[in-house]
This record gives sequence, C-alpha cells and structure tokens, in this order.
Amino acid sequence: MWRILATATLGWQPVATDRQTLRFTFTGGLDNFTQRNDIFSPPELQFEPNDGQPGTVVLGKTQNTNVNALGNAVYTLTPASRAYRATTSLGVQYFDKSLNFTNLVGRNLPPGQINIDQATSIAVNQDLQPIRDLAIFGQEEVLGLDERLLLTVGARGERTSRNGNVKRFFLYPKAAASYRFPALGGSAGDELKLRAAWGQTGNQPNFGNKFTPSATGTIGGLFGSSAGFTAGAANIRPERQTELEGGADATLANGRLNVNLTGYTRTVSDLILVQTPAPSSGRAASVFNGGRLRGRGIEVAAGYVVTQTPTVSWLVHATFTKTTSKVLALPVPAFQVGGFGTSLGAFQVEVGKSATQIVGNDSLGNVVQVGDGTPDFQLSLANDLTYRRFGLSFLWDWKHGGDVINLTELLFDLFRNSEDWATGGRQRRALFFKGETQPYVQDASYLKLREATLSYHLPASAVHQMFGDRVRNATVSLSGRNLIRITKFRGIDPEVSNFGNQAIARNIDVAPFPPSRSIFFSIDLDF
Amino acid sequence: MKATTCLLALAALGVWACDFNITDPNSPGPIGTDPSRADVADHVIGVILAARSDAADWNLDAGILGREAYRFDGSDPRFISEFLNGPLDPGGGAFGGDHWIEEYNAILSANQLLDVIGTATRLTAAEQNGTRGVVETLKAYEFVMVLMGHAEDSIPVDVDLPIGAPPAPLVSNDSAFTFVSSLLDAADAHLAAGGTALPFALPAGFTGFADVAGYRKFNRALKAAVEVYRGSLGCAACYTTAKTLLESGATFIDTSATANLAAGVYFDYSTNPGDAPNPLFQNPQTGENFVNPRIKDSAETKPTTGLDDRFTSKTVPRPITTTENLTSDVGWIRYPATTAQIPFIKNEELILLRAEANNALALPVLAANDVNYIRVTSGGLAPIAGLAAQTQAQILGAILHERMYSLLYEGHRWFDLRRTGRLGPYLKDRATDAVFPTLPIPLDEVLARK
Repeated sequence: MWRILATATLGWQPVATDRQTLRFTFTGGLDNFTQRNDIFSPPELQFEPNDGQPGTVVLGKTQNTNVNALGNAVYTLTPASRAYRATTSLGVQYFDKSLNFTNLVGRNLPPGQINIDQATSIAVNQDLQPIRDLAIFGQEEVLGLDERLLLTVGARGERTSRNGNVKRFFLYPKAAASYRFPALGGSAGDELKLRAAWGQTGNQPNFGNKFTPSATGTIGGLFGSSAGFTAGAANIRPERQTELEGGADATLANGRLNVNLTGYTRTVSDLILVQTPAPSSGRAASVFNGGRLRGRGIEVAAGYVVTQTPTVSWLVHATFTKTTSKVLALPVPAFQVGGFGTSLGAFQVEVGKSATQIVGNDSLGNVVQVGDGTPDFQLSLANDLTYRRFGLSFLWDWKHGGDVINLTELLFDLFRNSEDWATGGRQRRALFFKGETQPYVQDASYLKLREATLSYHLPASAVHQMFGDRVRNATVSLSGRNLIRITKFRGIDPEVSNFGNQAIARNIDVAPFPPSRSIFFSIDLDF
Repeated sequence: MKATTCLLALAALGVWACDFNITDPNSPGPIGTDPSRADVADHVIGVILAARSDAADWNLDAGILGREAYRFDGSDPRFISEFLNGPLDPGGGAFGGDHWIEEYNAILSANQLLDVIGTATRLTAAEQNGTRGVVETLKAYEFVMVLMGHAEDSIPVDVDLPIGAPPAPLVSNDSAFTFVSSLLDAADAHLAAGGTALPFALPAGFTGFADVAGYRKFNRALKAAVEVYRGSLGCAACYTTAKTLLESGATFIDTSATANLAAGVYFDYSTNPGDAPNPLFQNPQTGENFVNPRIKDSAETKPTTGLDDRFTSKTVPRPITTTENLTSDVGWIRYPATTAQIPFIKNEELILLRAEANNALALPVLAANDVNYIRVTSGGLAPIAGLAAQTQAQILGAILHERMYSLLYEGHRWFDLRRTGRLGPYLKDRATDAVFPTLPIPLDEVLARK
C-alpha cells in the first residue's frame, strides 16, 4: 500500500487594520492512494471450490487520486465602538476524485505455479469511479454583547457530477445562535452556554446512482449485453437533511466538571432509496429519490477531573447516546433490503416503522417484525490516569439492545454442533423448521473494553543517554484494542456486519471474519 | 499580489468550466434508438446470456423438487429443509422465490431490443424481421420457464413497462400459455419474413439453427412442446396442433437411420474470460449434488446386462452419503465438464412429445412406436411388448418414464408430473416431507402490488 499526501496553502492579506481585515486563502491538496492485493490459493487446498478449476490466484490493484482545491476570502469588521465583531466568508471548493479498481482472478493453476499467466481461466474486473464536485459558500458571523452572543447565518451551494442534473446548484442554508453566561455562580472558571442551530445539508448520491448499466458477458466467444438488474435514476438529486439541534454546555465545579447536553431531530427528505420493484419488471433494484425519514436522539457527554495533583491525575469522560428512527413517508410499497430472504430475517423499509426493523416469518408463515438493528442506547466511559511518569487510559463501550441476524448459529444448529446443542440449539432448530425466524434474530448487547493503553514517559536523563540532545521527549507504551468482550450474543461478534459498512442492512452474522484483537507496542519520540 | 489574484480567479474559472457530465465508464447503458448492426448482435447475444443465467440453477432446483436430485450443501441447509420439507419461502430469492426475476430480466432484455429494432436503419426490413423472430422466440422460451415453475395463476405477461410504472397485471397460467403460443407464432411469422441469413452470429449451441430456416425449426419445436404442455393442462385441440407441427417437417424431429437424438439447441458454457462455466459440473465423487436414489431404483435392466444406458451415462456410483436421513450413493455425470451444454430442446424430447400427442389423440400404436424407439435407441432397453394395447394412462406413464431418463437433470421431471397430475405423496423420501405443486410467487412481486 502506498499513499502520497500533499497540500499547499497560499495566503494573502491585503487589508489588515485595527478595525478591518481581509484575507484570501487558497489551498490545494492531493491524495494518491495505491493498494495491491495478492491472494494465492494452491490447487491442493481443501477449501478450493469443487468447480473443476483447482487453484486460484488473485491480483488486485486499486488506485485513488483525490484533488482538492479551496479558495476563500474572509473579511472581519470591528466597529469603532467595539460593540460587535462581524466575520464574512465567501469561498469556492472543488473536489476531483478518481478511483480505479482492477482485479484479476486466475483459476485452474498447474501445481506449484503462482503466476497468473499460468492460470487456465482468467477473469478480469475493472471499476472506474470518477467524481467531480463544486461548492460555493458564504457565511456571516456576528459576535456581540461582550462576546456572549454568537449568531451565524450561512448558505452553501453544491453541484456534483453524481447528480442527474450536473449543472444545478443545490442550496443549503443554516443558522445558529449561542449565548454564554460567564462566571456562573460567582466562580470565574464556570460558565453555561445555551445553543440552538438549524441547518440543512445535502447527502450526495453515490457514484453510479444515475446510471443504468447493462450486464455484459460472452457466450461461445460472442459478446453480449443484456439488461442489468439495477435501474438507476437519470434525474437523481441529493438527499436533503434538515436538522434542528438544541443544547447546553456547562463547566462547573471550578472547571472540573464539563457537561454537554444535546437533543436533535433530523429529517431527511428526498431519500436516495434503492427500492426492490416488482421482479417481473426484470429489475432487482431501482434507485429513486423519495420518502422522508426522521431521526431523533439525545447525547449527553460529561467529563470530570476526579483528581489533579502534580503526581496523580484522573480524568473520566462518559458519553451516552440514544437514537430512534422512523420512516415518515415512502412513495413505494414496503420493501426489503439485505438478508437472505424473509425466512432468515431481512431488513424491511416500511412507513411508520423504524428504518432498521428486522422482519421474519412466524410459525404461520406471516411476515412479522422480529427485531431492530438500532440499540436502545450506547454508553462509553473513558478513563485517563497518570501517576508520576506512568499513564493508563482505557475505554469501555456498552451497547444495550440492537439485534443481529445470527446465521452463524443457525449453521451450527443445523449440523448439531452448536455449543448449547442439547440445552438450546435443538429447540431453536425445531422452531426454525416450523418456519420461525425469531430464534436466530438475537439481542446483541455487549460490554467491551475497546482500548487500553499503558505508557511511561522516560526521564530526561534516560532520554539524553539513549538519544542524545536531539530528542526532547520519549514515551514507550503498550496498548491493545478489543481486549475484553462481555456479551450473551453467541455469534462471532455482536458488532459484526457481514456486508460491510451498510446504512441499514448491517447486522447480519454468517461466519464472518471477526474484529481482530490487536496489541501494539510503541515508542514515541519528540524531536 | 496581482499575480495571486489572477491565479485564484483563473483557478476558480477553470474549475467552473470543468465538464461534470461524466458518462458511465464501466458499462454500456440500455440500447438506444437506431442501433448499429453490432449493437443488435450484442443485444441478441445478451438475451441468450440472460436466459442462460438461470438454466443450470433451474435444472438443479427443479431436479430436487421433482425428486431427481439432492444437494447436500454444507453452507446452506435450504436445499433440503426448504425444497424437500418446506414451507417454500417466497421471500428467499435463491429458493422459494427463485426462477422468476432471471427469466423476467431476460424478457426485459428482449423487450428493450424489440422496442428499438424497427428504428435500426442499418438493417434491412428482412433483417429486422429475422431479429424480431429470434428474440421473440427466446422471450417465449423464458415465459415457458416461468410457467414451468409457477402454477398459481398469477403470471405477469404485459411486462414491457417503464421503471416505476405500476406492475403488469396478473393473468392465469392458461392465458399466459395462450400468450406464449401466439408469441411463438408471431416470432415464426417474423422469421418467415426474415430472408435467409440472420444479421448476427449465434453461439455454437445454435449450430444448424443459426440461419432463418434453421431457427424456424427451433421455434416450431418450442411451439410443439408448448402445445403438448397446454394439451396436458386441458386444451384438447392443442395436441392436434403439436402433432401437425411434429409431423409436417416444420421441426427438426428425426427418427431416421441417421438420426441424432442429441440434435437440438443448447446453451454453451466455457471458462473463457467473460463466459461462465457450467455450474452443474462437479467432481461426481465429492460434489454436493447427488442423484436421488429413486432414479437408480426405477432404472430398468437392459436385455444384455446392466442398467438403462441413459442412467449409466448420466450418473456414476459414489461413496454412500447420509444427511438429514437422506441417503444417496449416486453422483452426477450428466454435465461432465465445465463446457458441457444445457439443452433448450432436443430431438429426443420431440420424439417423446410426438408420442404424448398421439397417445392423447387416441393413436396408441404411433405413441408406442415412438416410446419403444427411444427405449431401444437411447436406453439400450427392450421394447415394451403390447404397449399399444395398454390404457391411455398407462401409455402416458410409459412416456413419462422415458422422459425421466431421456431428459434427466434437464429440468423437466417436476413439471411433467405436475401437468399430468402425477405429483403425490409417493414422492416423499421422508414421512415429514412435502411435495410441492408450484413455487410461490416471489414476495417482492407480492409486496410491489400492495
């Protein structure tokens, strides 16, 4: 894997007086990423498919180049009275991305050969994804009332090659206000801030949403092109998300306690949906804009300095989040996304229901809701401890609720070798054979020690001895990820998503590769 | 400073002028109006490719449902739990809800070409007609595939609709069969006005059928099959149509001394780039697909020695395997290579279709002749003495028995038993099993109509 990152910034400040400043900034960036995959599976291996073509060699190469250019102008004005300060920004942003993915799969290899040239049959796959985006934006910010009140209004116009109409700018306004109560309760360090914000943003269509690609192949050496299974939307436009957010930030107990409270309601309209049309249309999926989805949530974050002395410090930070979603409107009948069919559990998008509901069959063959992928709440707790030169930090994650379609267990049960075959597996299997999906849609609550790090700052004398004058500080640390997992979920991992990073159809477990436990030893040097 | 401003302005302008109109770099889009000759050729082949996509899977699934085959699949239990035990899940695209969208996708591919073929100025009128005839015949074949799997009188036929339009209305199986029959006639009429040569090459599986005259024989053979199916489903006059077609020289039926029973139209497979290997080819000793032991149990013995040649040439003994109280010691060699072809229709089937039509038309002598011809020529068996004197139902039983071995693992058995009313509990391998008369209409099709 190779990656090159480069940025250049050009600034120019033609006006800089006490009361006015004007500054132009131009930033250009380049990000080039190349990844190569080599897989070799010799013909002797037992897991080679029984397809008459023993031996597989895969040669994959992905190259992605992002070019980013941003130009903006910022003007600030402070009147002679100094009653307020106004900041005006205007800018243009351009983004160009080109992804080029190639994959060669060679099958039927002679023994001992690893070169793809030696394969009897070679399949080639290339995917190109060029994207161009352009945005213009403007914002006005006023800070007044003795720096207590901050008002912001702004708007952003976006056009992208991913839209059906590539010329049109879609406009997204926003506005926000906040007010500070400094020195709350007489203590200088404490304050309370109330804030409210309203804004719209656009979620761009994915590359290819507007295309209706044909399926191609060959038969007897003749090239053929037939209707693809996905119908794109030639007039696709971005999703529009309108969010109203309110909250309070408080610093209390002489700055030792920090509390942030946020509540929001978010409505996404013009959803970019991939609907399943009547299959007699010859299509399995059709992309379109429509429907409305509402998400609501609260977030509470609190940080507390338990103790802070020159030798010992202990910081605790906790966050609590709870979200719910509801499909408010859908211009098409309910449809399923993901899964392997209703009998094995599938996500179904349906008006009035949670966007992540899981449906399955009951014993009478009815389609019923059997679960929901969204958890009841999530809580994380981070601790930072230092004692003299030692540091210890760890992060606990607790997810309560949220279901996973556990097909791994179904496979174990079917072949009668699940861990609890005698006490539970037999009954689950029997229910499944009566047509019930419920036994394999399971609660995936968990408590995980996500991260832990133990570090030691070397004393200055030792640093000097080891590295000389050039190094100022040195730290050695041992850290680990996914160290402890406590869950009743019997699949491979409660956080699994067999089909990668999906919006809806995440929680499916079919003997996937689990999240890895990793341990790092690192030495950090400051020059 | 000026230079910087200019640079900024230029950059902004340059960005503004960038062409955002990116066309799909990965794949061609749907065929447009006035297609070139190459476009037409590509899309004709495309329809064949789309039709091929379900051919092997149908043969396997219908084989399991019709008790020709088992699949002991370590990673998917539904080949046993769902297909033999049930219930069939209309929401399972690879099981109960299968054998629908692939067929309709091929029909969509056909319709997309048929919609624009009249605008193809680079084809002569005759060539346009030839193309229509070829594509309509394939489209009709795909409707037959849908009808073979679905008996619920809920068949969308008028499916040439834009995306987003309300789904096509459902018609009864009888109306759908009538539609298919007329579509084959319309295709034949187009072929008749199609000159002599077709304006594109067809794959090797169409050898002998790749010109207008040859392709018409394929069309008429399919029509004969459809008429016999309709006959068995209650249309008495259809048997006469089938008989006429099969005796008029319109099809490629051949029982002469030089007859090739395998002559017919086939799907090709290969491991070449872009092509697909025949997925029914497996190592017969270790593959997941097994022969249902009843195929071995009911195979007859030859007068010389050994079992029916059709059985011994399509299956092979393998180590005994038991899963879920199902046992088999027979493996498949019906498709013995990744390049083995799968038939659309072949001479051997036409002869048995003729026997079926004659038997239904109370001409037992003619029917018995054809049955015995197949028994001797294809199976190496002795003729059945006095077959012509048996009852019509008995002769039909003999025909279906021969069809089982002549068309083994070709996706016919289940439909044959259904259309002749011979599905029954006797087909169960285990007491708790079920014998299904039809696949359900897929859940997505039902949901889209709510």
